[in-house]
Order: sequence, then structure tokens, then C-alpha cells
Amino acid sequence: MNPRELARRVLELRLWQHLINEEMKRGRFRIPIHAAFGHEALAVALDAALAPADQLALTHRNMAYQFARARAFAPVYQEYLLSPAGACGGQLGSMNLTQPSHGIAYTSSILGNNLPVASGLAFAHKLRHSEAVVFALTGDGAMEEGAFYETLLFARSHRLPLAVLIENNDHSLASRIAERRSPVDAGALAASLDIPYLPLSGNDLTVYGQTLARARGAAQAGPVVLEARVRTFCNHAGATPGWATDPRHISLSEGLVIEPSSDDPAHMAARLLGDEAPAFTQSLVALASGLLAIPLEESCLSR
Amino acid sequence: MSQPVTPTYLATLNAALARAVSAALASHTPLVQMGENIDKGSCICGLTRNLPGVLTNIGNCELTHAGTGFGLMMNGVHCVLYVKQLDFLLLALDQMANTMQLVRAQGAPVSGSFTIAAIVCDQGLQGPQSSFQGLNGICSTVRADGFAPVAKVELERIIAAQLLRPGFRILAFSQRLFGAPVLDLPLVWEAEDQSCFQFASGRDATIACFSFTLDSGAELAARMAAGGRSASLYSLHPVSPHRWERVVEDAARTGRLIVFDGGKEALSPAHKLAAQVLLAAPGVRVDIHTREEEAIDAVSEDRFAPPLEELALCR
Repeated sequence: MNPRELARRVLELRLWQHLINEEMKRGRFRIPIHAAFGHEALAVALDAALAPADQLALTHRNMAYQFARARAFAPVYQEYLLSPAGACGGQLGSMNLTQPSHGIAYTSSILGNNLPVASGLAFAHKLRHSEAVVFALTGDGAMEEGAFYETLLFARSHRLPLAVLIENNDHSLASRIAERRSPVDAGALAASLDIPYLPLSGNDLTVYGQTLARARGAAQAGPVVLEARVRTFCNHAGATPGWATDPRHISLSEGLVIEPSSDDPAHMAARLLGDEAPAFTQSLVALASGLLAIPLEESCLSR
Repeated sequence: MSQPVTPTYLATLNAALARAVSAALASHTPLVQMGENIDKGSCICGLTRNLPGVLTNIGNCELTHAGTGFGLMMNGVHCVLYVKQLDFLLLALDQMANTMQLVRAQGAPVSGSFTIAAIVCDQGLQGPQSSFQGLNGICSTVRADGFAPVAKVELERIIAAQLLRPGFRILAFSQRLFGAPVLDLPLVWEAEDQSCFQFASGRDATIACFSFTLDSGAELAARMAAGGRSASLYSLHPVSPHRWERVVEDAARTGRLIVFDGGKEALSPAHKLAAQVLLAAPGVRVDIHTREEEAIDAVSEDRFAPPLEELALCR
């Protein structure tokens, strides 16, 4: 897909997360929701890299991937509202939302739980001599679980078509890696199991697309580990701002939150779009409120 | 002339597994049979010896084995995971509880299956560990169906119907019985979901057996018969939700319920059954024999040993 089109999708996805964030501020959801500001480039690039039969096994922080795969706001939003019009009829909510028709076969709210399941999904593809690959998302918290090592070992032993994508945002809840454990060199760990390792950082959609395509190809001969450096711009769960100590302010009244850094996918997308970016983001925001069941007040929207 | 060979529990189990697997292979159903040492050494104490089809030898990561089984099931494949000791499944509780819960919540029927076939080390002399017998507890916790067949007809019917049935369940087999002649009892009645098998219908007592105690129940029924009294005899399996109406009605009719449970859980299904009987028929005399007080395992014979003589004489 054209990188500029992908960049537009990154900004659109950022807007949709803003809308969910505004709805969380309004107390419109009864379920815990984990926004993924900062994860948009990975989600959009992975969506573009997937073949039709590929599958995803996601984590609790899955919003970016749900929107990217659905390519629509309403089914995910309605699911968060537990509405029958939701992607799963309002039965699964956020942390366990699956969209099998979009390849999201499994989503777990339990750290590490999705990895063994992804191994089984991949095993089935191998049995059928399919070229499909399963991408299992995980994080720097979940890789502390035994399931992470076990799954890599199992998948490598049986050469399963599995790509394990670590979203390393340096946080488990509010604890940074240095505050809770010794460092783990995922590349060295993968190498010890004779598994290819591919790092990702910088939110360059072209690089991400190429790397994910390379991983997808390699995974057909056995598992691959990808580790993406991600900066998550929102609270662990719920609205941002949401806690008294939260230094960040994310509000549509100030337009799309975009940090001038390669850590921010929206910044990188806007840079790719160049002169087109301001008008495009303004047009997105202008349409935003109409996507919600109850439109936002004027004060909540930037003009 | 050669002597007729009495089939053992293990031989009956092997034959039933081989028949079910052969039927799946003949229908070209995609099937994964995996286990630790599944085709090596003793083949899991003989459990997987002579199994047809491809056997996949796997390492020692039970949590991942269980998750893999669920993933295969979700993608329409049949998977049987053979496990040497029920203890190992304690490492897989997250997958059995949480993954299966999401499969249920998704609502769509699955075409694949995942069956865990586990040996329960109830033969004693294992030491403080390695003799976990809590099938009822696991099934209750994760809301999965479980089966602990003892009699020949149970082994054959349950394995034929359940081994590759879409969805998830645990089949447990008693290592204590592996070398013993298989208990060949006439079948009176069988529940459609195979949660209950009735082997006798009597006037004087209702004997209900959980967790590999059917041999004790059958012996008690025989002792009562020798004394001129008859008992109904049931084998019950932890299938959710528990539907024990037939046993409750039977106990209300006979006026006496004797429940055996070979597991060691503090909360035994025996107590639930007794409560149901007493709610329906408060006058029923109830005797419960579980191993609740034997929670600490040790190097011992570790056998379920209800007072059969006393129970047979007691009116």
C-alpha cells in the first residue's frame, strides 16, 4: 500500500483513539479500556502486511489493531458500549475482543496467555500446508511470563509459522523495566533458540512495512521475534488525563495530540504527508463528533 | 490349549483409544496427538503404546501444550494431549480456565476439538507430590467436562464419544488400575452426556461413585448382595452442569445413599450430591466417604479404603 495512504490511516486511527478517550472521560463505558496512543504505526503497517489467511493473537492493549483491521470506527466503538451492534454483539468488550472475519482470532487479557494459543493457531496452518502466518502481540511485561519462553521453544521445535511481536513500551502498569526486573536482551534470547530477531523503532511506515514483510516471509519456515520500541502516550487504562498525578493532557479540544518526535507515529505520518497534513487532520477532526452516539460538546472539539 | 486372557484396564484403554484414533484417521480429520515421551520409553506408562497415526513428541512446557491445543481446536483441528500425571495440568490452569472461557463467550461452535488424556497417579507410594487426584476440582474450577472411567463399558463409550468431540474436555485414567483386570459390569443406563453410568438397580441402597471408586462401589454392592440385599450402583463424572436427578430419585426410593469419592478435594462433589438428595428426600440415610482429610500425601499405599464390611452390614 502507498505509504501516504498508510500515513492517513495512522492519523485517522489516532483520531479514533481520541474519540474513545473523550468517551472515557464522559464515563460512557462500563468496561476497562486500554488506549494505544503511540501504537498506530505498528498497527497500520501490520494490517497492510498481513495476507488474507493470516491471523492475529492480541493482548489487552489491542485498540490500535482492532481499528486497523476493522478499518472502521463503529464496530469497535459499539462493542465497547456493549451494544448488540458491536463487532461481537457486545459480548466480549475490549480486553478480549476478537474479530475472526478480520483475522483477529484471539485476544487475551492475561499476560502471556495469547502466546501458546497463537502457537496452536500456527500449528493448524502448518498441518494444512497453508502459507498463513500468525502474528502474536506481546509486551515487555508479558515477556516476563514463562509462556513467552515456552512458546518460542515450542514454536521453534516444531517450526511453526509464528511471528511474536513484542511491543516494548518499557512499562508494566506504572512500573518501568528498570524498576521491576533485570533487562532482557530479546535478540540474544531469540538467538539462543536459533530464532531470527528483527528490531523495529522510529515509526517509519516504509521501514515497518518492509520489516514486517520480511518477518512474515521468514516465519513460514519457523518462528520469528520482532521487538518494537513503542512509546505509549496514554495511561495504562482509562482516560488520559485520568489520574491526579497524570502529567499528560490529551484532548480533542486541542486537536490531535502529536509530539514532535519519531516516538510518535502521528508525527511521522504527518511528516510523510507534508503540506497535506494540516488540512487532512482538520478534516478528520471536523467529522469526528458525528461518529459518536452522543456528539461531543463544542468545547471538546478543536476549531 | 491356551488360557483365555483377561483384558486389563490398560489394554482396554489402549484398544479404545486406537479405535477412536483410527476412525478419525479414516475420515481424514486433521489430528494432532502430542505428549511428552509419547513415542519413547514406556510411551507414558503404556498409555500411548501402539497408537495409530502421527505421534508428536513434545518438551516439558505444559502451559504451552494446553494453549496450543486450544489454538488447534479454534482453527478446526483435533488435538489430543496425553499427560503422564494430572499434576502437570496445574501448570495449564490459566489456559484451561481463561482460554476456554473466551471460546465459550465467542459463542460460535468450534469444529475442532481438544482433549487432555491424563493419568491420575492414584497407585500410592509417590511421595508428598506427584499424586494429585483433583480431577473434580480442576473441572469445577475451569468449568470443563471431565471423565474418570473405570468400567470396561465406560472406557469404551466415553473414549469413542468424547476423544474427538468438538470442544474441550479432560479424560482421566487411573494408574492404580492399569494392570488390573478391567471391571466388566453390565450397563443398566447411560446419560446422553455420559456424566452418569448406572450398573445396577436395587432396593436397599444407592451407591454413587466419583473419581475411580467404582471398583469399591461394585465390591460393596456384591457384599450387600451376598447378604441378601440389593443396591443401585452409579458411576458419576464431573460434567457441568451436574445433572444427578436420576441418582437423587433413586436414593429417595431406596432411602439410603452411599457416596464414594477418591479425590482429596476439600469440597467434594459427594457433598453436593448428598445435599441434593437430602433436599429432595430429608429422610434418606447418607454415608459419605471421601479423602478430604488425606490432603497431605506421603510415601504410603495411599489408597481409597472405605469400610466396606461395615457399610454392607449397616441397614
